[in-house]
Amino acid sequence: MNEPDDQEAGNALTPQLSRRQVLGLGAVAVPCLAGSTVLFDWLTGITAGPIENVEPITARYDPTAHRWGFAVNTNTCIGCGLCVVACKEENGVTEDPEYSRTWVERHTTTADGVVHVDSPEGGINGFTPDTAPVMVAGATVTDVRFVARLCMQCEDSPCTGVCPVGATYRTPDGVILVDEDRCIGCGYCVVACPYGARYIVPAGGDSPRSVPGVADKCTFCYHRITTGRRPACVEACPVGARIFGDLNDPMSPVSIVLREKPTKVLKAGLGTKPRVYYVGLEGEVDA
Amino acid sequence: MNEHEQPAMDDRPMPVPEQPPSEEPRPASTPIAWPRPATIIKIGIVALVASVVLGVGAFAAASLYSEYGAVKNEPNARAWAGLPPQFAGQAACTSCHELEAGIQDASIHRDVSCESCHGAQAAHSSSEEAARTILPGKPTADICVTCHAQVAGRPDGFPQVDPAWHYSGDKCLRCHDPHSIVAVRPPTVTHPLANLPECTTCHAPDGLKQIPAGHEPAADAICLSCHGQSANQRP
Repeated sequence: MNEPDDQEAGNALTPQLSRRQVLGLGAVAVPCLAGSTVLFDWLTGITAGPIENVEPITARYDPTAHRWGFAVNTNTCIGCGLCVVACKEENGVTEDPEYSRTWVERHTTTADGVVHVDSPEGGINGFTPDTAPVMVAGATVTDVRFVARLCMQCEDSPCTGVCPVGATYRTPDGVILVDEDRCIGCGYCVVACPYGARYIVPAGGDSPRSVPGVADKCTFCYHRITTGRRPACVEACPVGARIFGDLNDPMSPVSIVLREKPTKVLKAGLGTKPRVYYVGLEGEVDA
Repeated sequence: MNEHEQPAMDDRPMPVPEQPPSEEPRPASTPIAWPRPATIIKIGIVALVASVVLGVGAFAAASLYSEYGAVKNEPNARAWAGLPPQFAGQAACTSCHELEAGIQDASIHRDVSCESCHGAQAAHSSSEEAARTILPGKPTADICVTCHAQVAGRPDGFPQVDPAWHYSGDKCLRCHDPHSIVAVRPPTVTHPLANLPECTTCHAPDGLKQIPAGHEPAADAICLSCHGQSANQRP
């Protein structure tokens, strides 16, 4: 009674499967896929290469336990540029002022409300009396302040979204890093970043983890913050204008600033949700 | 044969083999045809073999494209975290340099990190041996005016000097202790109005106080006329 059915099913271009057969295949496929996933993860785990150069404290570091944040107080910044110097020294960033993970801008506001931004050599030599802000001659200056810039470590980061090879990624503690082995140097992230925080390491660059031609950016000094230290720029700032800490810790310096002072983020309208907060900025947050 | 191997696939209602009594009172009109134990074992073997084939195959395929296996960022993040720091931090400095730290703690410079002026000292502070062999260079006096030169935009109340009027160049430390910032005033030269010493005794390019930029060349005899007028402008 079954014979003609079976033959017919075998001869047809689309084999006719009964409901029972489909369910039977499912009974095989589900444990099969589950088992292969477990096996794949296990094989990946046991074959992962040893992680070189890891301090014991780094090996114990739990990135899911932190949420790093940064605050810049433009009311106290004196524009000395020591942060820019410290960043280059700490991270081996090329000395060429064109390429910097952090820089200091001078925002000169005139009576007409226009904010003139200049940053001679990224502020690495500080702002000296002989460097005057670029602006219309004769305009009345209403405010001059120094604004330190760095990667905003956006929660919704455009740079990680556009990377075609998954080389740039966000860690669970909220720092965006670049895998220098995966980066192909296409520069999409440099263009996508609304804050100009990224650059391609130039020829002859000596960034410690990157070869020339790959993207580089501020890491919040990831090697420092994962070992209980502060970023180098925070360490070097003589006036406490750079404030760093764990947003999960209500008593961290950055949490205290966010609680006690009004802060703004740059280009909030883009929805990037920066983790760098500014004290003392008024009209120029979209600059 | 078909009937024997694949009873579950058979459409005909079959006598239910060895169904547990507890399952008996089912309201359904058609009894469920459970597969035989031998069939379940077969399914299990097929699933196991397929799992191994798929799992190992996927791993092999992924290994071709990545030294880490699957695309996982954690090894890279760990590598970033493993970089050696260059700045040692305040605690490393004060553990040895108690004297300077004590002076600084009592001064307005108490919140300024040692390494703000002295630069990164992780190498110097890494061991007692290194502390003797890797000697940090002394900061030049430029470091003072880096922060304290008068520049528009620096906050009101932040101490700033006009290097043209203040004692300038590399002479900051002739008067100021860099850690306490206490200034020792230069010795007051008392001189009679007659037989004045030459201005350039003190106000020379290498003297205690530079000649202010744009200063008109003046005969010694008229020093006081200018000096008196501008004395209140001088720090």
